[in-house]
Amino acid sequence: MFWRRRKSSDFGAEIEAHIQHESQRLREQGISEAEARAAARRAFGNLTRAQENFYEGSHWMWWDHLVSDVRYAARVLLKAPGPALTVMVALMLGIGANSAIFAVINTVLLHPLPYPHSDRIVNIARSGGSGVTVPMFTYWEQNSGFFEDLAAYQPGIGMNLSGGDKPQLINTMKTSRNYFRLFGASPVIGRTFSVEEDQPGGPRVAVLSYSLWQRRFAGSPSILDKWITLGGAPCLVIGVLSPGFKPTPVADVWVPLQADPNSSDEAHVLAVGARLPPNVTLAQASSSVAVLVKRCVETHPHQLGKDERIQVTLMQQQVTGDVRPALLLLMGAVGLVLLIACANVANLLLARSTGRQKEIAIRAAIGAGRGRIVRQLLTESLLLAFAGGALGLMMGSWGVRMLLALTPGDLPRIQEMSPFPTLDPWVSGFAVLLTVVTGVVFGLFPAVQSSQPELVSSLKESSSRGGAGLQHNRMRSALVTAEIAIAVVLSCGATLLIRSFAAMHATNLGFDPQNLLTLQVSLAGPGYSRSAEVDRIAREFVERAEHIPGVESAAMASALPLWGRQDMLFDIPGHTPLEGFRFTGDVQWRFVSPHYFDVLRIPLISGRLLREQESGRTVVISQAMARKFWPNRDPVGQTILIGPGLGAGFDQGPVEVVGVVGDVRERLEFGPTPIMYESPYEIPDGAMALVNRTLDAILIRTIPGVAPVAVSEAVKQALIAIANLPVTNVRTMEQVSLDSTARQNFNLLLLSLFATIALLLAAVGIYGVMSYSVEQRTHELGVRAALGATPGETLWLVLAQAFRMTVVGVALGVAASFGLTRLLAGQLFRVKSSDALTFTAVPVVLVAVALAAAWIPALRASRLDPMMALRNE
Amino acid sequence: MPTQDDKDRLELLQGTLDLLILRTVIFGPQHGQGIARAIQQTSEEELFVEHGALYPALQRLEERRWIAAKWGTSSNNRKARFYSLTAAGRKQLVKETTKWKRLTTAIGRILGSEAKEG
Repeated sequence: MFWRRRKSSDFGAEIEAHIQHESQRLREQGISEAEARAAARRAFGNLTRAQENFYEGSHWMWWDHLVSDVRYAARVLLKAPGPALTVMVALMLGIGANSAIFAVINTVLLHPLPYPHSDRIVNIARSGGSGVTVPMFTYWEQNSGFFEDLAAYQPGIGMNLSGGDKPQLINTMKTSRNYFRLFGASPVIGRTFSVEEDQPGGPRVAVLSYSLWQRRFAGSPSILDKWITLGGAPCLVIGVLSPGFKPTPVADVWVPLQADPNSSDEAHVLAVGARLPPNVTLAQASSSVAVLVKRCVETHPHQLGKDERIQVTLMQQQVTGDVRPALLLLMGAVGLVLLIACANVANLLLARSTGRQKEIAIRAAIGAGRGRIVRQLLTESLLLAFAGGALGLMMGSWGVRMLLALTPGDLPRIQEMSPFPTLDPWVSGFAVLLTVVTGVVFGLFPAVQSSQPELVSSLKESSSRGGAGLQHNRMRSALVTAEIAIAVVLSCGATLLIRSFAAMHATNLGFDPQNLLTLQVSLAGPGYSRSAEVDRIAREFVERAEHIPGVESAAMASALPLWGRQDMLFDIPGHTPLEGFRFTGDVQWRFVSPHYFDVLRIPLISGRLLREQESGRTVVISQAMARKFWPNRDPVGQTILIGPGLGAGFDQGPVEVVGVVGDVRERLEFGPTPIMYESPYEIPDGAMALVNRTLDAILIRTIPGVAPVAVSEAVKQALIAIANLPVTNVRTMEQVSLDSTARQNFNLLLLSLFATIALLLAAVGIYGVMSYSVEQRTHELGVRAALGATPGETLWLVLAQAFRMTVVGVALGVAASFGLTRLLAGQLFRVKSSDALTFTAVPVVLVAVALAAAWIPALRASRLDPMMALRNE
Repeated sequence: MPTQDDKDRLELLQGTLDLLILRTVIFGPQHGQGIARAIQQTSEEELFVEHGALYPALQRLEERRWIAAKWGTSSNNRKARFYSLTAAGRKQLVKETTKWKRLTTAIGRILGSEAKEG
């Protein structure tokens, strides 16, 4: 039931009517008009009190006060927009950056995985993170009724989707039948794999993702039971998944795994997931799996290395575990930035409250309680905080978009990010919380401090020399010192990462990355499973490409330099392997077309390079491999076995080492890599199919003066013409090299950004404090000038004050950094976490910044007219 | 004159003012001044209503919907706000009167025995 508030004016009218009645009655008794009215009034009692009581009784006074406080605060802030704007900008940066990072953390780390019962889904893998073999999975499948929906999947296979429009490289995943049930993926049309389809030798069928269906097939239901060409061979579409299914890792097409229980494939490629039955703990599951693995290894001896174990972990942990430390570190860093922003805010509020002592004293003198004054001051700071916070939230959404543009492509679960991340209740709630805490914590202290003015002295004294001013000054200096310390910490961290980055990318790669164009193609799938076919493509392509104007030489390889991921067993006959190992070693292996070494300018050390035609299987090895396995001999002329024990698909007899080439680093952090290079033609089909599961590479060296990108169109056309191959990742080699440290780049960029913001904010803080200090000391400086101080001396005086404040801050910051940069130690390359250069350079930079920030106030001080200063009260 | 008789008059307790107002208004719509006059007259000048306390009391009763208010013209052609009893107010009046009677009877019994003796 709504009570419509009676207006005060109505009440006032009633009282007025009453007074008139009463005075009329008295006049009828013969009293004069004026007397009558006065008497009527007296009889009524306190009119004003009655009005006030009515008002207070019929209103929520706290709301009333709030509204008037907000109005007043707004007026005050609008009158002095400069400081208000500074605060809002500082808070906008602080809260915006925090919201952006939190939005990412929210999606990646905090949200449960987007599958039903995701907290019961586990990942079963080798310790160290790599997958299991096909035979091991099939053994588990047959012998463990223990888990629900045990499924294996092989993600990240780029395959060519052709037929119809231009061909496209899409992300394919091979999965066992239970995959869809495990992750709760249901088809929106059609169905998922049946039992027959997941058998070895089963039909070629595919399930599409919703987005692929929309993008390429226009969402037409006629896609069902249509044939598409996938990986060079026809494939029947049997279903499309619903749009809500956003798994990590992503995929656009799912094909059946068709795992063969009788295979002896020792490649560790399968990721395995399952759901824990109710009432089973992770520990119980782990021990059951351990038993199962032991039994499996007894019957299939080589499925697991001697020192390897199988681990069962929660899927959420496995998906996000890698990125967690880095994201948390970033959150810490951005929190520090907010602290600096808050310190600036507090400083500003303190400065303003110093100047308002008189106003507050007046309020107190006419009856405002302490609580009332504090409430009003707090409202001002909260208003500022909310204004800054609202801007920050908007900025945050833009910030997230920028972040996503910068992220290394492999940041997990990014696809789950909504298009408006700051609308997520957690994120906006977080921002609001930050805003309120900021406003309260840093508004409360000045408010409480100034709400108890010494009335008499404040009212008497000039506003700029209040006694409370001195205490405030100390507080503000302390805050700025803290800001400087934090800025030092962030700057040290950023500088260390920069040095590390520089060190990594300064290492000698072993090849010449300039003027090199790279592209990636997929040769995965049945259409390319024979080495003869791959070899044909390579030869024809190189032939055509080398005729393109601007191209000096061309090559095709199974992997880009710095991106080789394929290891292969090899054995030196007669050589005793290390304890516990069957064969000599396991090194990186790739196929390359003959001009590869020319394109990359890798020098030949001994023997010869691969030829166009070979009369048997030959291999060229890198110097690192030669040094490691033939320490006292020239390996040229020796024979080795490649892929021993893996079956005829891999090992078809001895392979001759015909040459040794210069070292190449595959990972910037490590030393030169042992590598085996073969020519495509002689590689057995099984090995070829294996290595083509990852994207193959095209390398083009352009003649000097021709930009690599200029020939990319022609190269793409050549590939289409030869084998209808779509391309992806068109980059220069330098870009590839940069991308190889993508994760570190990301951390580096962000931390540098935060450090820069921190420096800026600290500079603003210093400027503010020094500015105010000079203003406060105007009188004193005037006296000094009158007594003979030159402008130069005054300048020094002010700068020295700033310098003292800075030095303390820097010292604190350096001390803190010694401890905190240890957190970065894991990411540093050839740079100690207590690197001397960093710890010298950063303080110097900071002192310079501080002096620069204090320069203008100092200049102002030195230019004071002594007469004006002395007169200034 | 009101001022001279002030000291003799009894001050009203707040709760009872509400009761008296309800009782006064039962006879028909009346404005604030009229209610105050009526209480004073009916109590034969024993009870004094402070006009400043009257209006807040009327406001309270109006908020509780025991009386309803409307602007109108008084007998001498002046604008005034007239209060009348609502059905709920009538019920409340009965309740309060009963309570008051019980209270005074009980107190009267205690005092009355003394009075008899005294």
